[in-house]
This record gives sequence, C-alpha cells and structure tokens, in this order.
Amino acid sequence: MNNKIDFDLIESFILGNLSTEEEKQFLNRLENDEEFLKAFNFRSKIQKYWVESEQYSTTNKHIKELLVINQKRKKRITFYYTAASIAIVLGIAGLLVIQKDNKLITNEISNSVIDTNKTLLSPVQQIVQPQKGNYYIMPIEYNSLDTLIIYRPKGVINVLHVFIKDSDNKIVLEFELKTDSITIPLKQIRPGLYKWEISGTSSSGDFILKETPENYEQSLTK
Amino acid sequence: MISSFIPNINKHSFTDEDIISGINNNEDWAINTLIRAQYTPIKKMVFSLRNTLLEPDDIFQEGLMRLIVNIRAGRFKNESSLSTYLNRICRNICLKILTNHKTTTIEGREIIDEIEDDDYYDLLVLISEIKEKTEKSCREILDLRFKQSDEGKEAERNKLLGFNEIAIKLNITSENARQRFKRCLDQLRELTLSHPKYQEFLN
Repeated sequence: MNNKIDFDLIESFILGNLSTEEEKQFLNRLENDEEFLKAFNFRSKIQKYWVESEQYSTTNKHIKELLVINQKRKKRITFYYTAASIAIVLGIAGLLVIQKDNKLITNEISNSVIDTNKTLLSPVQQIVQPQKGNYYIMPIEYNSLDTLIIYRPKGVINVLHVFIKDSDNKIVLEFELKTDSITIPLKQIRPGLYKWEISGTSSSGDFILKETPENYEQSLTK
Repeated sequence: MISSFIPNINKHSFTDEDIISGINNNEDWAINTLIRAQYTPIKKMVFSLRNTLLEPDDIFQEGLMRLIVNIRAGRFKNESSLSTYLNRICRNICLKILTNHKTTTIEGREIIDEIEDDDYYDLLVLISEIKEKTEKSCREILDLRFKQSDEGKEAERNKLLGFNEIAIKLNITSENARQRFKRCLDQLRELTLSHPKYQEFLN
C-alpha cells in the first residue's frame, strides 16, 4: 500500500463508499494482486488488533491491580494470624510465669516454717496456712527465731493495738500498730500456744511457738 | 474490598459458566474469583518445576490474561474446567520459558493446545506495546478511525468514522485528517515490520 490511490481505495472500501462496480473491481484485484491483498490484510487486521489491544491493556492493568489487592489481603491475613499466634504464645508464657511465681511464693512460705533464719509470715495479708505436703498445719507453727508480721487490715486508718495472748488468754506482748505493718520477733516469748489479735477488729489467729533452737536458753540468760 | 461489590453471593458458588459470562461482561468479581481460587494452585505448580527462571506471579498474570483473551475471543471450547485450562496455559508458559533458556529438554508434544492461540495473544501484546510507543496525535487519529462510532456498533463497516467526521472532531481539514491517518498507518506498519509475527498481518 505504497501509493496514494491504493490507500484511498482501501479506505473507501472499508467505509463502504465504493459503487457496486468499483467494489467488484476491488474484489477482483484482491484475487489477482498479491501486494494489494497484503496491504488490505494489514489494514483490516491492524484495525481489529488495535481495537482489541485496548481491551487487553485495560484488563492487564486491572489484573495487576487485583493481584496487588489480593496480595495485600493475603499479607493482612498472614499478619493477623501471626499477631494472634504471638498473642497466644505470650499469653501462655505469661500464665506459666504467673503460675511459677505463685508456686515460688507458696514454696517460700512453706519453707519458712522450716527455715528458721528468714521467716516472713503474714497471717492477715495472704496465705495464713502454710502448706506442708498435702496437709495444712493448724495452727501455724513457728520457732523462736521466726518473725511474725502483722499487717494493718485494709480500710482501717486509726492507731491499733496488737496483742499476743497465751493459752490462758493473758496478754504477753502488746504493740502499737501505727504503720501498715509491725514485725514481732518471737524470741521474746517462750514456746507454747499463742493467739494474736488486732484490737477493734475481727483479725486474729492462733500460732504455736514450737521449738527452741540450741543455745536459745543461754542467749536469753545473757 | 472487591467482595463488597458482590452482595449476597457466596464466592465459592460461582460455576465456570458464571465466570465466563462475568469475564465476557468485563465484571471485576469474575477476574477476582479466578485470582482467589487459582493463584495458589498455579504457584504450587510453578514451584513444583523447581526452576529459578520461573516467576510464579508473572506466569500467573500472563496465564490469566491469556485465559481471559481466549474466553473473550471465543477460543475457550469448554472441553475442560477453567482451572484445568488455566493450569495447562500456565504450564505451557513455564515450558516455553525453560525451552527458550535451554535449561532443560522438553519434548515438543508437551506444549499443547494453546499453541494455535499464541499468535493472537502475541499480536495483541505487540500492538498494545506499539500503541504505548505511538505518539499521541497518531494514537488519537488511529483510535478515531479504527473504532466504530457508538451508533455504528451493530454495523459491520460503514459506521466507522469517515475523514470528514474525524476532521470535525480534531478541528482540522478532511485532507489533513486523511494525510495524518496515512502517515500514522505507515508508521504503525514500520513498527510491526521488525516483529517475527508481522507476517500474520499480511495473510
């Protein structure tokens, strides 16, 4: 389709602007002129592909966009699953730590009955019944090197008195509870069954001062 | 986000016929359903070939595009399910890549079915690329001349825009429109000449 006449002829045919006679001649030329046929084929096909390529480009861009959206969605789902997994793992780990801490506290309290050097017991605050194996000791047993800690009951703000009474209900020790707690060294009293009370409250408990370590008597006389 | 465009329809409830119809009507959900359902199986198939030359995303994208083009052109014969068809197309793409790089010996018979459609798809890609490179004034007049006017979509040929109508739209003379179109058509021919598939346009 190198000359102007052929170009105009083909364009006119495509537009349907040829007369019946011209169209007949046109079709006849297509059959006999190979170059003319090639020019016509190119003109017809390029138009078809030009139009269809637009839909191809649009769809291709669209697919790219949808793939990106899909990948983002997958990433988001993966992120949520990962976050949920981490939260579950952290939760389990947290529970294990809390459980371990509770076990340590229990152990410390139960050991404190045996360990005569660093006993801290809180009858009011928390576990008032240290566990030994599978049974509870009632009442709590101490020895004379232990220290009894009495905590101020919650909500009470005035000055209180703490009494240590013997088995005859006779006051053997008396302290003022001005702060949140008071520490009472038990070496001041002799072995036996005792009761502690906080005046003006219902807080009270029994305990046994059991063993006297070696040389205790001597230390008392000194 | 896309699923919000599909009210009250379960995404798993589409049949192949629904999807084909959706693709023919240029519906978003049809393509998206294919992506969601077929991306992972195709990726697995590509990974199973164990070759670093194969990019699963690129292969899936080209495979899906070929599938859509074939459906729209009526080349999908419904002889297999869409998933099987897409898998076969993607597999062929992989095998062609590997054959071109000569990394493996592949028997010719493994490349099947879609060979006859390759020319059509490749030409679409070619023209699409050429279109991108074509200068704006040429693209404009070629678009006007090649596309049927809205009222002429029913007709075969005589509802295309003539040079007089194009001249009015572009605010130039009819002779200018004709000359510009001829120049752009020649340019288009030059650009396609270098491509091996060029012969397809002549036969």
